[in-house]
Amino acid sequence: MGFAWYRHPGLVVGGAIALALMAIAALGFVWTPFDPTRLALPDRLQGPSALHWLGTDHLGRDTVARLMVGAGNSLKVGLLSVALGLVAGTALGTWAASRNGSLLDEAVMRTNDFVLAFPAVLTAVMMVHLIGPGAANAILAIAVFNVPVFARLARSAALQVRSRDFVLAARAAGLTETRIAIAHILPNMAGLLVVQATIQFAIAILAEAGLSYLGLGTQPPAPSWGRMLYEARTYMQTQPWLAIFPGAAIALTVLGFNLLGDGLRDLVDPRARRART
Amino acid sequence: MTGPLLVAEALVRRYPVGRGGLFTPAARVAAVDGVDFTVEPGVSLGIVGESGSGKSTLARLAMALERPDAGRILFRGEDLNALSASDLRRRRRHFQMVFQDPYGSLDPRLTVERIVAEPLTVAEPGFDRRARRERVLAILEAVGLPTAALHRYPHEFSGGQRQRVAIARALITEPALVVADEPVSALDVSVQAQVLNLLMDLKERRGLTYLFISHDLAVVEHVADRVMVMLRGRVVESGPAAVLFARPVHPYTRALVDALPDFDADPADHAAGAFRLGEPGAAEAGACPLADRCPRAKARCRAEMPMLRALADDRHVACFEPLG
Ligand SMILES: Nc1ncnc2c1ncn2[C@@H]1O[C@H](COP(=O)(O)OP(=O)(O)OP(=O)(O)O)[C@@H](O)[C@H]1O
Ligand code: SF4
Ligand SMILES: [Mg+2]
Repeated sequence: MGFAWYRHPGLVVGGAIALALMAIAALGFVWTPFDPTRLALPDRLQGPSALHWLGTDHLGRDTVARLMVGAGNSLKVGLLSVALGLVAGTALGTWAASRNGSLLDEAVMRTNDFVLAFPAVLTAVMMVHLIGPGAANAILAIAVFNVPVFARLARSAALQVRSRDFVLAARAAGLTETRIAIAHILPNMAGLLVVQATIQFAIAILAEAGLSYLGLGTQPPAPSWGRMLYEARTYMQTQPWLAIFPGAAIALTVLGFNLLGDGLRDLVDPRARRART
Repeated sequence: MTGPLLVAEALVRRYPVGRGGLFTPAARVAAVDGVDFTVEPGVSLGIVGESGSGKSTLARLAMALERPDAGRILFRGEDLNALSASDLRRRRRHFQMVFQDPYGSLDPRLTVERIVAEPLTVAEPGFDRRARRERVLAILEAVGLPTAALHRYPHEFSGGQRQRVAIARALITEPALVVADEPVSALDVSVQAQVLNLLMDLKERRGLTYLFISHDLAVVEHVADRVMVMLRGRVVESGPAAVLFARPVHPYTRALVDALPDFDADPADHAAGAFRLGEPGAAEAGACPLADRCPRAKARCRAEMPMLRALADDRHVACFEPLG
């Protein structure tokens, strides 16, 4: 029996959006209908047409091309910042868990709480103000607010898994500590971490857009959704599609990854697993 | 004879209570406080005691899952905690454990096949998938689970069936000793007897020796050949099951036996030394822990800790004023 996709509509829709986005971004690396950065002032501020499907911006650049390349930039920043946060946070959290109750554990977790007390996007904005604008620094800044999220999750997950009798049972069976960590502890944490990573990804996309909107993230002329929104603000009354398309791209992406995260959460919960007969 | 299977020598295990201050270490209380016992091959030992008396701690010490703070645990004459880590892992196939809670002791992410085969991957690393599966199927049949269980996950089974999976896992390496820590107390009363009968049956057919832990005297009476009664980390009475249940000499054991429904103890000395259970008094060092609730208590009971001493009929008791 195959996967009963109709039981997981959110997962399917979210997964489809995420896949489509990745396909568009991948295509954007090799082909775009127009050069996304070339100025063509005579063609500026055109509405959607057969030639420019989604119109052109105030410098005559093709919106489809800019959205495609912008997707790649958003995904790159999201992926790298979440991956950094995931790896560093999981390491920190499991390390704290292995020293549960010590002063080090306490210090790590209180620092986490401090960082988590600030809204994610605000943390990123403050960070970039400190270390300077640019895509690489945006990745770092977004990673910084991801670290405590994963550290806290990994710590509680590792503590919870370690206290279960199946870890003791594995030890009684003669498994080494390394094998126990790989065969039992990490797999029982992985689901939670992947779900969280998907949701953090949506937040990272939003943060990247926010930073770029403020001119702190991806730097012009490289296209980014956030910057496109910023540039569109003067033309809200006359050429609203300039804001609508990048805005919709951001909203759809955030929605897609949130749906995917929620769907995965249902799926990784072993109680939700069905018998395979 | 080859000598005893398992010997515990003056085992002590202390745990911190509370967290202690910034500069003061947490206070430590002994969960197991100087316990000795011997398990001969084929003579199952039952351990009874109320909640918190240190039974599970003793089980983990017996399985070398924890190190004692003092004392030794010898399996077939070898001090398990003196072995190297890899030697200890190699010995583990000979002593296995069944845990109390079959919902917690089986990894929910693994199929029954992988759960049951896991100890075999350590004990018989040379086995290929086919050989492993054959062994798994054989042991599943022995514990009364269908072949179809192989590819299922723990959550698809009832508590009783899960405990069967746990038993299969414990037996797949053909151990000589099985430590069972309250193996039925987490199960519905209706399936407790089934699982107990399975354990009894396997003991017969596979020549197993159990270290069988329970807070339920009736269950222990059923399974064990010898019995040890624990109270606050210490042994208060031990001896052959038949004698100990028919004629307990320690007032505490007596109270446990009297608490059993329809147990035919001699009604003549029924009221002789019983007291109500479940009333923990203040534990004073240098006194019998039961001194303030024992009807037989004398001045000496409040001034001195009774030590375990041998009686004539192959039993031991820690009491200044034993019954009978
Ligand atoms: N890992 C631990 N850390 C701290 N204290 C512990 C730990 N394990 C057990 N204890 C304490 O040691 C004492 C004995 O516990 P143990 O679990 O061995 O008792 P038990 O006889 O198995 O009880 P139960 O019938 O409830 O299972 C208890 O007071 C318990 O709180
Ligand atoms: S030593 Fe004294 S107080 Fe303790 S059980 Fe025996 S008679 Fe009772
Ligand atoms: Mg216990």
